[in-house]
Amino acid sequence: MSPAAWVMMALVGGFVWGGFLLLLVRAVRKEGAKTSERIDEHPPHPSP
Amino acid sequence: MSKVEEFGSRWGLVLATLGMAVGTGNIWRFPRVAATNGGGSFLVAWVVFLLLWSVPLMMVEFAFGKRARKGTVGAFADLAGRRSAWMGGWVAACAILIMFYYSVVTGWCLRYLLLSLTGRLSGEGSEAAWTSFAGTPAAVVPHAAALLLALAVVWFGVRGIERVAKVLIPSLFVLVLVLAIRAVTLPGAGAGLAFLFTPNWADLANANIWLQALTQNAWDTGAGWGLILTYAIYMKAREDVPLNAFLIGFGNNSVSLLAGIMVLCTVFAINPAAQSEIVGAGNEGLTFIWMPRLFAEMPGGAFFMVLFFLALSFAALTSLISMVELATRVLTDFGVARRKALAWVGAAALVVGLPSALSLDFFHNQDWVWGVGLMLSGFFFALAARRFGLERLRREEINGPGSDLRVGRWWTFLVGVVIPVEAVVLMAWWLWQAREWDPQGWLDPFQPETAGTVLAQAAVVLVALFAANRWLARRTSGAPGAGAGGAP
Repeated sequence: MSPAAWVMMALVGGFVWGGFLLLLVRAVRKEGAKTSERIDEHPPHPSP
Repeated sequence: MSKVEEFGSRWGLVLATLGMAVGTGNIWRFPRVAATNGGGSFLVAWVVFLLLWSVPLMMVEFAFGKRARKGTVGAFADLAGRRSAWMGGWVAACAILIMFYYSVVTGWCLRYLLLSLTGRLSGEGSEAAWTSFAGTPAAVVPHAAALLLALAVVWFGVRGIERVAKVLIPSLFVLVLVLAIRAVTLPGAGAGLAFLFTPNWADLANANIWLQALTQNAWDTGAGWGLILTYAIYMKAREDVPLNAFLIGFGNNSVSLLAGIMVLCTVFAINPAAQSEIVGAGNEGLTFIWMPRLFAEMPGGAFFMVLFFLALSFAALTSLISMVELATRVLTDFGVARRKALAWVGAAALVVGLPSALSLDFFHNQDWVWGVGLMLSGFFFALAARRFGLERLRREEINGPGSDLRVGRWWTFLVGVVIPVEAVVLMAWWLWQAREWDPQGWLDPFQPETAGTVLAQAAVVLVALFAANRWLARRTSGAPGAGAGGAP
């Protein structure tokens, strides 16, 4: 493969796959934070 | 089905919507189109249109479904005004007419999965196997089987869709990844990577490359089809819109890129001399004739062929499920009980899908006509968003409660200006292409792939919907299942 093809693979693959993974990580974190908020608002085991 | 049915979690929604987006177009069309349109240069344009078409339109669909809590007809009537119900009807009609032949495609995939599992698919007999099957009565049973599978999933409501998506979509990602890794580790696979990724910068001045890239985004991400809107009906009230739209757009294109690597590396490693013939063989030729031949010559090919057709079947089935749900939801908005609506959808799809099962000419005609029709669907979504108020939609739904990303005014510009222009240019370009394919008979409505057949069939549907607009609007407002999303 030519250097140009390697660079293109890194750029396109990095953007598409890297972007997907970053978005996934962000969604997991946001969802985790929302779940924690919900638990704080409605604790499953109310303190005595 | 309960009245307030919703996805159990964000991941259920995301996986179901990814299942809708990832279909056969990712696996059998993207590699061909990328290979025949300049490889690396095409990829640049393809990435650009992911951001300039797919993701902004997905946000519109999510926002509409979440706000209206109705299928396409009711959502357009509620959000864009009662005079716009016919546009929602067009979106639904396109998706439903595609469903009629997509169950045939899903049936082909299931049949080839069965053949590969039972070892009855040989490399040398692949062309005879295809020609003696497709477009013959033998294709009817797989069509019915595919439809039954989709109906069975939708029968259990959105939770059924969610449960199936949670199994099939992660499995599909793993299958495509395994196949791509196998392909790049074949001797000679580097030539396939080079073919896919080598840029020819001069190609970026070629408008056709950009239009093909835009078409690929319009067809394989599912943006503007009304299917995302349908799943968004079942979003939780405080669910995110923009991050989910980005996630699905990038997830969909991630699968396409892996599929491109998988197919082209396999082609170049096994039969580089025939690469032009293979990528020029059309979607079905590549998938059902050439892939079995290539797998037959690959070490462990029988096993990987099963994985390939399993991935294709998962991709097709999850997309078909979303189309069945869209049709069912539209009918329930008209006041039909959900399970009765599902039975009607199944019966109609079985019967109206028969001509596509029995004739490849008819199948190609429908694929061509409603493929172009989808571009008008995208245009109508942008128009409806304008009628609702782009800034209002952005403020209240896209950046509304639960949003995980702030979307700026760039989205307003894209949906208000760029997407309508893209849609008009794309439709005009495809119709012009048809003129070049057949300069004499390009307006003949009775030929399978002419501009005339698109214009004639689209005109019939548009006139009928326009004439029925008042009735459509009346029947879908206040219908059972109409949510509290609120009309403006």
